[in-house]
Amino acid sequence: MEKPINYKNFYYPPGGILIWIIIGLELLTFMGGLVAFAVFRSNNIELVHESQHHLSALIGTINTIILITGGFFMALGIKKIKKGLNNQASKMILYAILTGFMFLALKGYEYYDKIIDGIGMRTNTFFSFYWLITGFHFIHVSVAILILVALYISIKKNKYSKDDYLDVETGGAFWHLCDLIWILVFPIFYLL
Amino acid sequence: MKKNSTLIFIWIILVVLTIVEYTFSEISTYSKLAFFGIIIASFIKYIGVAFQFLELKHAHPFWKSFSIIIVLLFITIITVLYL
Repeated sequence: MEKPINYKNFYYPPGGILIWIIIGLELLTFMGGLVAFAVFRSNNIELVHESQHHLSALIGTINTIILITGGFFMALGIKKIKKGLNNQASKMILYAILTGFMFLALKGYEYYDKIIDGIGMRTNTFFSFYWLITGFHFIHVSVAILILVALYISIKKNKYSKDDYLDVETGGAFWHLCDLIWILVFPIFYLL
Repeated sequence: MKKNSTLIFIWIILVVLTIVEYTFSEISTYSKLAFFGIIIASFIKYIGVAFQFLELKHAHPFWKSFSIIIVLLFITIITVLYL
């Protein structure tokens, strides 16, 4: 039986230090992009306000709720695997995967709507930022879904237990990273 | 069971805050009240996800401080540039 992880140790934050280095770098990268957008906005307020009218705050809000719900299921899944409840854990992770697909579907609809309206990366600088930052986040969610699918299959095969769940926690941390990024991206592009 | 209740409570708070953000943006677009309402709600959501879902509450103080400092720095820069 392995010793329980001591999260208070600097080298063992939930999910392990390597994923936390990634989380830190990713957050700083997205924050840098959003600050660059904010600088652009401060000099081009009219253009930004006009461009924002092409975005649906309602769709953004629904997508935020979907992603947060996915984070909730992921957090529950980790609680379950820590208790050795593999069946329940896999079910929670499956729900998280489904919310991920729902997010991508709604985002895909939003992108389709923009493309139909002839709005692309070259439309103006606002949409260059929009496509780059939300598109980069879209890729993150897609990768997170692949990670969760791999974890789901592994849990179903009983490769993890209440004494060996670090991979699940690491995958969950990446999933929550997508939540954290979106929590910052959503108000900047859709609300403010 | 208690831990599940905590997560459910946090999830409800996060959903409500998201709806509050949307309402602020719809009711009073571009006002200072709406701006601060949305920024504060986003900050609370970020902390909720990081500390409760990601379980940062159990981590070494360095990781807690790092997460809080970078988001506060981000919010400060955004506030300066937006207002």
